[in-house]
Amino acid sequence: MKRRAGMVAELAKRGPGGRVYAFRAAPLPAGSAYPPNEMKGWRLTVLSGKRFSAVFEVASNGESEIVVTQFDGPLSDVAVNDFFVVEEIAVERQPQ
Amino acid sequence: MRFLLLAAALLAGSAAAQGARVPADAVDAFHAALRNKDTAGALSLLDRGLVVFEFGTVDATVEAYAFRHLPLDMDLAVAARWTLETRRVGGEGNERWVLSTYRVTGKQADGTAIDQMTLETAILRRSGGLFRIVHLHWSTSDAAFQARAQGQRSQEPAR
Repeated sequence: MKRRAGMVAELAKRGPGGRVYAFRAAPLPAGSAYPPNEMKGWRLTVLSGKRFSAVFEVASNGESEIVVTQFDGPLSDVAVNDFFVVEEIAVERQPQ
Repeated sequence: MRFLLLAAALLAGSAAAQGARVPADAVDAFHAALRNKDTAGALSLLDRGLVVFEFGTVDATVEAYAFRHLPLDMDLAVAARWTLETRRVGGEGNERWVLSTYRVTGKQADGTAIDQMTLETAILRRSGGLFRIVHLHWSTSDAAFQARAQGQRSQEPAR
């Protein structure tokens, strides 16, 4: 399974309602970059901080920018220096 | 729309484990989550005070384990079949232990055959009525596998 790792470097400005769905990342290993939009649809899992183990779906990505979909809620309480992994696997959701 | 998004947020990953009432079930659920590539599910079974000793390396925090070595363990769980051979459980109250041996068979990503015994010590702590793993220690009877695993785990993730 393909994986990309990183650390949150800066959260995007808050949108309507104060919600944030994007951030600038420091790709890891240091000096690497994400292939643009490679991670679209991949699963992002937060590996540290208040949102430890929280899961999001990547909507799009640049070399160091990541936007998540709204399906899993905003990036509330995700903070600068939090680590994350993005994996080439779909986010499982229960049928409604 | 807002309600649907909130509902989706609440439901996402709801199948993931959050701990277990029986210590051995938490261990088994952790292995199942690894096998199912369920990162969040695996993390949910780990106590935030987790320390891992794995093939000669140490992860002193749950974050270090999650970032450095959980992906390797997930890849191994997917590539190999872990058959439980023996298990002993003990402890009392909120602190328990589960000692397991597994016959691990399969193939590495490069085609190398895996056929070895893995020894596992798991210590679990109960909080909020559920047991989560607070310590894991893995070792193996296979010297070649041990060397390979130790080499992989001594490197920073290059993914």
